Amino acid sequence: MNVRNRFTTILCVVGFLSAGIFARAAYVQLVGDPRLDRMARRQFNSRLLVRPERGGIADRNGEPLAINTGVLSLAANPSKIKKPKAIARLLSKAIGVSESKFASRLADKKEFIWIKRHLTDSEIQRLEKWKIKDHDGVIEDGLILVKESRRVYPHGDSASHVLGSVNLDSEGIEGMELWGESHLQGKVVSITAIKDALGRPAFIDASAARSEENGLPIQLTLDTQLQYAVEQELRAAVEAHGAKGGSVIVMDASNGEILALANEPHFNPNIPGAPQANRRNRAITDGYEPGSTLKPIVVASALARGMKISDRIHGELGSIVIQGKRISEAEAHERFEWLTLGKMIQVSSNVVAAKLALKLGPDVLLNSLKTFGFGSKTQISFPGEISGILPPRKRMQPLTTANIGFGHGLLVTPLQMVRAYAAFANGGYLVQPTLLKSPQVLKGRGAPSIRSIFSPKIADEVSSALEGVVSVEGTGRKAAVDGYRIAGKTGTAQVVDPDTGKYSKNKYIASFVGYLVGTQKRLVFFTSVVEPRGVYYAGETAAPLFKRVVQAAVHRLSIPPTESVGLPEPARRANPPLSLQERVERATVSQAVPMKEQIFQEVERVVLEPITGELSQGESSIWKMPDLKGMTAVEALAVFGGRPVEVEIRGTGLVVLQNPPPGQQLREGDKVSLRMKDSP
Amino acid sequence: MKAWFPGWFFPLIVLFSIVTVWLRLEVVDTSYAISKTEATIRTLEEERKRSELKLSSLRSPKRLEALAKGKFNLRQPNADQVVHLK
Repeated sequence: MNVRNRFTTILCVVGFLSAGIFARAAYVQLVGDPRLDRMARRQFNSRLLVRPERGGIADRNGEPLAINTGVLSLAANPSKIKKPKAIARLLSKAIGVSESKFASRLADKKEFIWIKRHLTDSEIQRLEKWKIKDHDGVIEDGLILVKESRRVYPHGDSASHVLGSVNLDSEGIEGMELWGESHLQGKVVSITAIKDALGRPAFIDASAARSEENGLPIQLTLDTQLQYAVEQELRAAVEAHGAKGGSVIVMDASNGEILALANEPHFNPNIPGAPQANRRNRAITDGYEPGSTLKPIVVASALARGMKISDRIHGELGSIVIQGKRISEAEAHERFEWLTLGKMIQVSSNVVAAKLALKLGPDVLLNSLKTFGFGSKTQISFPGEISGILPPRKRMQPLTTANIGFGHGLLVTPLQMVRAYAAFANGGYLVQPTLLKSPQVLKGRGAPSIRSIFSPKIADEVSSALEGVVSVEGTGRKAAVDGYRIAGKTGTAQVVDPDTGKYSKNKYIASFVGYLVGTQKRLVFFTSVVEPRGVYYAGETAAPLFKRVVQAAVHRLSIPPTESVGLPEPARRANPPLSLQERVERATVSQAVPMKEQIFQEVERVVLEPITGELSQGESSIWKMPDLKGMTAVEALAVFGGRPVEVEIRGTGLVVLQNPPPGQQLREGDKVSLRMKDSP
Repeated sequence: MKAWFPGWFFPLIVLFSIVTVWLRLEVVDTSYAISKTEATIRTLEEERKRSELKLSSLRSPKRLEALAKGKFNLRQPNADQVVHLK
């Protein structure tokens, strides 16, 4: 074959091949090939999972309690790591996990493995130090820095038992984080993106991306300020009594909103790994025998069945034997004879309570307890709530019935107790406790159930008896708060020893349940101290805690005093003298409202009378100095009602000396000196 | 040849090609600009979250109490030192 023929042959072959390629190209372009189409899509398209932002949790005033923040995590594609041993050594130095562990993980044939989720700032610094990552975020081949969202609780351990916590993937694992998971987590969407030559998403399906739904926020009924104050008081009480733990609940008796809920021991949800015992919300998930705090409920049941608060039952001089078991008063010296039902509450007689329970009978008693909500969940919308235990009817022997009379032989939760007492505070209505204020969350759940369980008259009668408990003669006198009417009941219950299955002789749960009487805001409180050492009586442990919690609540919620309970106040520390101007200025600054008149209207009784016909030159005035003796500092200041006189107060308590004396002229700009002294 | 392809045909094709390529490049550029702006938004959003966290930490009751007691030597008021407003 000569050269010309060879050339012609090659030209023909090339021509045929070209024609074939052209024909195939034309076919692919014009007709298409599903297989190639799929390959192209795989090459250029990618699916992105858009994770929504988890909804925040705030308190009743909008203060954030749980929010999200960005965090870096380190992942790897082992198949792309060129020097796995060297990388494992560097990672070990930066993150602090053994080199061999990293080496074995990097030997995996997977395309994606996590190295460390949620890197700390110091770990990131060490990654930069060991040249695994630079400041611009450029990272060693095969390693991947992933931006993630991390749940943060800005108030640390405050309200931790209510909030709960989340796992590394920001999924709720306990508390409100778990209960509100479906609401908080939002909706994950998968969207299509077209990658560029470097694999970066260049075109994103915008309409699909818009369908991403962030989690919705949840607003709780808690008040952060009050919550913190309550936690501090509880911690101090538990520490002071060397106790194992304790709980406090503050609830609005009118609507069941929980304003504060604290437990000891506590935990910080920002630090993972807290022991399970510390993470339990004992006020909702743990039961206890209520002891004497159940007595008012038994009395209310008796009143609802026609008995009178003045009806009397004999105290059997301190003990009674039922089915061979002796029921005694808490103190051996308590040898009561005839006690009215009201007095029984005040002195907390076990024998009379037991006899009252027997008089009511097991059926009435069990039905009454069920009516008060015992033995069933309160439906507070919190995971892990227990219903407590009421003995079955068939086991209600006389001894069981008698024991229930003074709060033994049944299991209740602190939340159930505070709800039962709320009925005394609000005129006989059983409210549904709630931690949720968010209308979105509550939407569709229907209105919270509130039902009348006894008449307002019964509530008043039991309240009067409970006020007696906080009187000088009552067992809960240390719960009294100066200036406020308090109704409440102490309860000291023995704890069953898990080793012996019998009541322990040295382990107790001391509790106090009570409420404010006569205030516009109807708050009900529960305080408990678990297994206090030394003095264990509720009157000495839970009652003082109750007092401090009430003080914190009335100060923070600005609940004005009702009246004095007439108890001697403990000695107060000396007050630095303050002028009227300073007082008004301080109050104005702290409350940010014009309030001179508001302050003084409320307590004004003695009026500063102008002296007729003696109006001074210019604008100054002359008044007759009133008698301020026996007044408190606030009352004395109220007399001057913001008039331009300087009032100097020395000491605390009531006014014992004043200058100028009563009846003398008082001119604008004059100085009034008041010496105070604590009443005996 | 002249009858099939008038003189303006090739310049028009070239012009269309240039416009098409230019448009394509503009789309790519705009996409990158959008991505960059979205990244800026994400960064600012992150900054906002950090600021919220900082603000919340700064006004936490625990910190305020520590400041009040430690720095300003304040203490909780006695009951008679509290003025309740109506």
